[in-house]
Amino acid sequence: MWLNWKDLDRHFATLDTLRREMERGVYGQEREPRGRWSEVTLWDEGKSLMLTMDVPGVSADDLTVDVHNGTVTVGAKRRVVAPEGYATHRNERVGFDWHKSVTLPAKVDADRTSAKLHDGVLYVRLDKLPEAQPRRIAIGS
Amino acid sequence: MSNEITPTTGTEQVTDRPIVRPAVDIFENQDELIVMADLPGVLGDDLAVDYDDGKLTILGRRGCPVPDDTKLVSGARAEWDYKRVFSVPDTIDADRIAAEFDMGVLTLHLPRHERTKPRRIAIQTS
Repeated sequence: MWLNWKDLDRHFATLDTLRREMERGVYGQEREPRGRWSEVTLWDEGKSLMLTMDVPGVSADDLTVDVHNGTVTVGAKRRVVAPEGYATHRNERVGFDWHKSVTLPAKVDADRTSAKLHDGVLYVRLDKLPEAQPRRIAIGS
Repeated sequence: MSNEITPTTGTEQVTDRPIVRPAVDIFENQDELIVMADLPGVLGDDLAVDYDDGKLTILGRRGCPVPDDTKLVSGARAEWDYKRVFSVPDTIDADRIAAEFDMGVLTLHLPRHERTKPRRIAIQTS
């Protein structure tokens, strides 16, 4: 063999390092880590749908909730930076800037949607349109 | 790195509630260490920070927001405990550890003992 696999591996590893170095040069230190969105919990309370998502450290100003055409879209962002004058020892909390869309299983009244933020969790109440609400049919005798 | 807070290794507990390790940041300057932990959905009453014999324990109970009699569309009916245990260096003044909880983020301030802070010695010239 002209070249054994180890050599080939090493060449590719070098290329990989080079690519990473170049990307660092292009994007610089400014690049924000993009955390993944948290899991959506959605449940049906009959007359309304309820949706929650974890958004720790996100203020109401950095949250958006849009309802459009049977889809609710939640946007959230936060930055995680070391306080001024402090060194970082451990950095597991990530910054993020995401939008997550959820298709709703029933038609909702966008005007009557309400959202609140409580202890780092977003709660959205989506009232169903009257025709989408469950109803009990009276049985004539 | 003797100053760094280190997670303790050792026995894991078996409980009926799952234990989740919350993401934690640790920052340091000459005066204090700051520990920040993401604990979304933990109510203030269900959050405990204990210091005992050099071990700092963060424990938060997370309940399930989904009522029992409703139909789950996506996600899970889950509840769990957030837990992290750290060894704290003895340069920390445990009596003055302070905690605040805001927007689902716990922030702990661990001040250093006055005697362990670095100081510059004035040099006297004759």
